[in-house]
Amino acid sequence: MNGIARARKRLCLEWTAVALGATALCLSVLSFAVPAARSVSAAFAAPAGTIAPVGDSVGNSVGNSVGDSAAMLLRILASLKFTVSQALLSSALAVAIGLPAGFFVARREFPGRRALLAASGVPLCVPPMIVTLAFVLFYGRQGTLNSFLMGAFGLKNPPITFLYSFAGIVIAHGFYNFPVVLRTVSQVWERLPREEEEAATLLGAGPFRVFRTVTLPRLSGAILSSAVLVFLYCFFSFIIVMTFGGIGGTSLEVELYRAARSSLDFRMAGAIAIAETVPALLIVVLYSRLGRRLSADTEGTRPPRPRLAPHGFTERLALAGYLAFILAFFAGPLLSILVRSFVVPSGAFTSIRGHSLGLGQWMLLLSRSNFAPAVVNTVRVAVPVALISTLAAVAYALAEDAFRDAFPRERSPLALRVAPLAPLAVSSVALGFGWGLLAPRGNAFFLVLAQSAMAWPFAWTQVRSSLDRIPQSVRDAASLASSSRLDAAFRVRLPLASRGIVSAAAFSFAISAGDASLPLVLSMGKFENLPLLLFRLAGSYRFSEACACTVVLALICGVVFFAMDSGGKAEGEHV
Amino acid sequence: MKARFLRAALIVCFAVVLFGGCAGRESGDDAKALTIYAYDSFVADWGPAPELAKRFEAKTGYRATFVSCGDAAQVLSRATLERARPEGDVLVGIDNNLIAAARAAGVLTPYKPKEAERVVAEEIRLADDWLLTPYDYGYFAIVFDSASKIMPPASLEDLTKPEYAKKLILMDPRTSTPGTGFLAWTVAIYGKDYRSYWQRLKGSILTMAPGWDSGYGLFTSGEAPLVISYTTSPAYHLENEKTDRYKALIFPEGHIAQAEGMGLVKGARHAKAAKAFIDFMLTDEAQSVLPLTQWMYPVSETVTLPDSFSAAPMPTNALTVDSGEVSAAIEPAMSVLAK
Repeated sequence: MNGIARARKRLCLEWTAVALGATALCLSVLSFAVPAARSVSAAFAAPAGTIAPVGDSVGNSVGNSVGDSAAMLLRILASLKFTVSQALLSSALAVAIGLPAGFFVARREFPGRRALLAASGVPLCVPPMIVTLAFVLFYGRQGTLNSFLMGAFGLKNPPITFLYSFAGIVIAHGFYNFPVVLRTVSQVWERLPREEEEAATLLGAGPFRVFRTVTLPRLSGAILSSAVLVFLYCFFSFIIVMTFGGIGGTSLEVELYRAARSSLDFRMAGAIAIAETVPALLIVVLYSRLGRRLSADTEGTRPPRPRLAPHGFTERLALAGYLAFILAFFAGPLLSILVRSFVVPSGAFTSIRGHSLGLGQWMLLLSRSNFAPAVVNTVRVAVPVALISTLAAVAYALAEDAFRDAFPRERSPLALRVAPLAPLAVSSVALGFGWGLLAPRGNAFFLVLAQSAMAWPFAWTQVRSSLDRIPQSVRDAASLASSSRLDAAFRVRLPLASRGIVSAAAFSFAISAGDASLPLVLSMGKFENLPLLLFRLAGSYRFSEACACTVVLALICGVVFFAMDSGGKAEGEHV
Repeated sequence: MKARFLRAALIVCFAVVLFGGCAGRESGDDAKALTIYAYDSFVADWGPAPELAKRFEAKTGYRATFVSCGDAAQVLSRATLERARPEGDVLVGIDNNLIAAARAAGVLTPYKPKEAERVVAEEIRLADDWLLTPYDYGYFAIVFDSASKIMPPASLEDLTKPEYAKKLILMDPRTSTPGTGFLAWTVAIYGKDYRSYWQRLKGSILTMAPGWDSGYGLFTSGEAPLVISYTTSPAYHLENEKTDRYKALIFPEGHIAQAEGMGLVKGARHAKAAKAFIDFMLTDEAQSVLPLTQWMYPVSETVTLPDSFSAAPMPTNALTVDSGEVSAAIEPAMSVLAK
């Protein structure tokens, strides 16, 4: 009797969870689709309608003559080529840096491992404006690295000058985004079955051959899905590209910004939004075709393997070298922000480039009456966002699986496979523009919706890649042993994917916590959160305080990632 | 054990946040209230809005709610989108670059404040019909870091010299007001030849930042000794950081002024209160709030400027240029740089 009651209770809980998941999914999808459609429909708005293209009479010298627009088109095409190539190289670099990190984090135990994993969430919440500042503080002409090299070798000119170039964009993007690869890949890597690698080794394959022929194919799904996230992120990158990308260059994102935000030519903005989304969607389609083919034979999951201490001199050397590399290129710029937050701008002392160090800016920030509300609001919005987008991601992934089970022979329709990444194929300027049209006076509720739509593709990638690890045999066994398919999902598949789910929540939290653009677009009146505060501080000469604010934001996200990782691991271990 | 505790703590946090609710609260609408759309830094804690609202209410009994719309262009775009049913009563922050767009959008209606003729000097007026009334103004200038080892340039032409190679931080005129201001400056001085000036200037530009914040951030991080900003920027550093390290350079050929205006929204629901606010903004009571919050000059000349404004040099010559001409110059100047 007791057993039946428990089963009934369980079923009830499960169905509640399904309902919640479905609601979250609907919310996330609608919060993307409606504003996107609204911003695109502006492109077709009748000129005499409610929205007149104000810009025609002002800034829009562009359309004055046919010759001008042809030149404009050529420039836009050139910029599209530039955008695609920088995004491709940036994601390649992110993979190149993220893969070794994924290996060490998944397979080796070393001091600083947990810290590296937690810190890897930080870039998601650091606004791009601060990222450019971080890279300049570290690599800039007067930056830490150049000052050091000039002092050490008695040079007159800064030796490192790559920053304001194509290479500068790629390096900033690569280092800013490698954590996405690291997190996605390592959670798959630590669960790869050991037998095959051991078999290959017994057959005489060297470690690199084992990696190339056995491990890499199994990781390819995770690598590809994280790379496509990075690609889309870089494709729509705006501030980093403008600051480092050489002068006078244009990009669709800049033109879109200009049309939507300064010449107020809403039709033009809609047209550019479409022009930008098409190539991005093509990439997503390409990815989903490739991803399907690759993931077919890459499933397989095990409880996490015990992590070994690095063995052998070469490996220790490689690990030390890699950590030094990460410290220099990734932690260096981030730490520069920490140092900058202690800089008290003053002419009186000269300890750090004519400034002195002190707690002054921190005291100012902490004593601001809106600081505590900003922290509270950041968390209050980020937590529901994390919850909604993770629920949506899990619901979508399970629905995909159900579809596969129902039609095992058919490939799932393209639309189903592309849908979860579609929100990333639309520029945030365009989405914000759509939201601005829909909700002229937003509130925190709209903000949560808008950010969930933005975050759930990241969440889905995390959930999907860990669900894909589960072999068909395990799923079949689970279905046989459970009373229902639903039960099998809740008892077996979701616990096996716990790392990915936890990671999804952490990702979404960080994305929401670091976003200043949607709160601004939604004109939320008195609302204050950390990214907004940061944006306002930097917009009014208060850079050290803005950096202090970034540090607070980074700490919050770091702690969330740390806590989530601990939670995920505990859950994963008793599976 | 620790992990479990952390997890439990997180779940509790989730629940608290979720059920704590996150809905915004709108204040009620009544005859004594009005809504003012402004750009973000106007509304910020250290901006003028909080103090202005306090003084305005004390004086007139009207309660002003300031709504931040992002930047000034977004103030206008918000009003344009709401043209059929305006929510805002006053737009604040529309400057000389945006006035043509504001006129074309047809969201404002002229209102001449009572003291307009007396308070607002002729040179800084934005519109003959008082579609917009300026409340403050400033001059764009190159700001120089005196801790660097270079000689300050003495003119726009000096900036093109090889000794200033990669020493100048500009902002993109497509996305930033000071960026447009610098372009306007070159158009005012070089007229039709502005393209060849940009050609000569190209080598001196380190980067064109997307906005003032990132550009000025690079400058104060020591990345380059010259940046486009305002003549009043050194006053900020003197007042808040007690340093005179940063100097605004006065060029004899003259400087471009930026005047920021406010306007009455067409069909405003609280037109009477809105007019009272625009009147109030020209009183010295309101004007005296502006220097230390906006870091701009108040339009009223009877306001005593704070001591730190001694660090803000006054241009000898004010230049003006048609805003249509400036926006027509954006594409050509950019393509000169892109080559």
